[in-house]
Amino acid sequence: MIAKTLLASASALLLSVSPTTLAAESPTDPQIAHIAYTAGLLDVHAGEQALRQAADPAVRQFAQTMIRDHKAVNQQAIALLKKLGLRPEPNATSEKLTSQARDTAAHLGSLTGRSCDKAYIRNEVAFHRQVNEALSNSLIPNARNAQLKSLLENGLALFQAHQSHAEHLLSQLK
Amino acid sequence: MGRFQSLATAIAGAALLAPPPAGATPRGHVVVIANMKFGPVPPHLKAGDTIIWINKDIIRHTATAKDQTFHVDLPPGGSGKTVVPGPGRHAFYCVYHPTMTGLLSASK
Ligand SMILES: [Cu+2]
Repeated sequence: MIAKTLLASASALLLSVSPTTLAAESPTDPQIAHIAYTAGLLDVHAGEQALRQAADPAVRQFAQTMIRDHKAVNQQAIALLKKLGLRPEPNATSEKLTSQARDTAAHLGSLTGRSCDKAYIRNEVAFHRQVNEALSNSLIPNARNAQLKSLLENGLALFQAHQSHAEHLLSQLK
Repeated sequence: MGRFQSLATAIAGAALLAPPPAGATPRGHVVVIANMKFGPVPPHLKAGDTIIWINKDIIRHTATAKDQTFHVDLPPGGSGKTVVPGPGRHAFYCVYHPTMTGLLSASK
């Protein structure tokens, strides 16, 4: 986990290419759509797992917000993709996100009580930071369709708020 | 109707008991929420005025006073109403997204 966070910070400095950053050279719109949608879906699942396991009321409320917000954005994304006739295309980046989330879920599943609450929030900080970096440095700059770009930009504002919220929660949990 | 809203109604009711100064009919104001931000809050708010909060985002927000003098849940693309509380400065935020904040100043 610490190693992951360090890598994320290091890649933030490099501004793009690194194994943990989500930067395929220039993803196409169908790939961008799949990455963004997958990220949202994974965070919904993480929130659902937290609701089954977490005890702290503020952590539970955060998880509920993540589920509600990411579902709302993904519904909007589905509607837009349908309208544009754009079919999301699975790719190495979204696959990487998925396998990473699988590991995190397994780790979280082995924890209980306070350490579980903390691990979930710590991971939410790392996850949103990673996705926000990808949005800023790769997905938004590479998006060709204006409406897709605009949806991603709105998503970024929301996910940045999520990241700050999670960072604040984490400092409270210490 | 939530507890806070009932409270806001009660405060509004109490304000009505005191005869308002001449020409002080409660007025309506609008605050728009878009892209995770509260838009500008109109100046010169008076206690007892109404604020209509319009949520243009696709996600749910709230407008909630930190001193608990008002609270309203704002569904995606929806709106809600609160009454301007007693004179003073009232910081407010969204309970779901605490980085969303604002400040309103009310006079008598
Ligand atoms: Cu909000």
